[in-house]
Amino acid sequence: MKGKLIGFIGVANPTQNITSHDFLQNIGFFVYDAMQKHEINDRILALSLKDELTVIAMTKP
Amino acid sequence: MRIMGPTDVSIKMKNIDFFNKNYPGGFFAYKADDDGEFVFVSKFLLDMLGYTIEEFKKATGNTFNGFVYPADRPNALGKINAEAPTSKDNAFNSCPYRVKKKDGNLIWLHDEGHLVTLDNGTKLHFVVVIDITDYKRVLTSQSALIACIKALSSSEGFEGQMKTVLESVFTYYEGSRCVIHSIYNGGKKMRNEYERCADGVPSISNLLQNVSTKNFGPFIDSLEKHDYIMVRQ
Repeated sequence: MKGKLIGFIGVANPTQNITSHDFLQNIGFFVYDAMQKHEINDRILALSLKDELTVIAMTKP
Repeated sequence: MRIMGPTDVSIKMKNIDFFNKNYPGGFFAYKADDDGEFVFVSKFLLDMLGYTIEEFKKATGNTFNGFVYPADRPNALGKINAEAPTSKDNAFNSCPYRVKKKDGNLIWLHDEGHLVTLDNGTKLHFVVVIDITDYKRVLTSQSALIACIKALSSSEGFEGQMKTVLESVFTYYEGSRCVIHSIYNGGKKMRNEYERCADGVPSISNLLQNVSTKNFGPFIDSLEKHDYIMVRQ
């Protein structure tokens, strides 16, 4: 996605719609968006619970 | 509706040779009894399926029941028997079902049938079929895609959303295993995030955690270059 491979969806031994690649391609876009949204939500949650400046200060020697 | 005597049927059928060779769609007739024995099959239908008439008879048992793909048989026969008119002259019944071609692939047919009673009381289904495989594929793809989008935009948790998506993909392709893998650490590592296995297929999710992508070099290289890749044995 955007020139960077972040994952893939795979199907082993499909028995129908074998030549319908467009379905997986379309699903990939939506899954990518959902994963990005999920990551951002996690990041926001982490930021709301932790003071990054303090953490940095604590971890630096 | 009474149209012709039983002995006339074959003569009439010979007279429609022109239509048989040129009609854009398959047509056939079969007896409206338990077996549904074929009395006529058009050349175009045979060409569509890749059979000679002898091969067709052998593959289907020369019956409509044997013609319809087993998984679709109960619905198709049930619908035809329920809708087939026994008293109305101009009523038709229709239903979609799959049939197997000579090469083993399945195609979807749309069936428009008409039940006709001959002079001697014999009942025959006269049927026209067209190949709707591409249409069904698009329709199924759209339905599955809409189900995924609905799941992803729902208030369901992320885990539930991914499982719903995976289930839709699994159902659409009817594969033995469906997976979502993530690639991280600058493309160096990958892991299985979600997996959906068919009945009797063991999970391998535990084996594919924190795996080096180097182990899948050509596979990853192909994914970097293309939106999809197909691996054939």
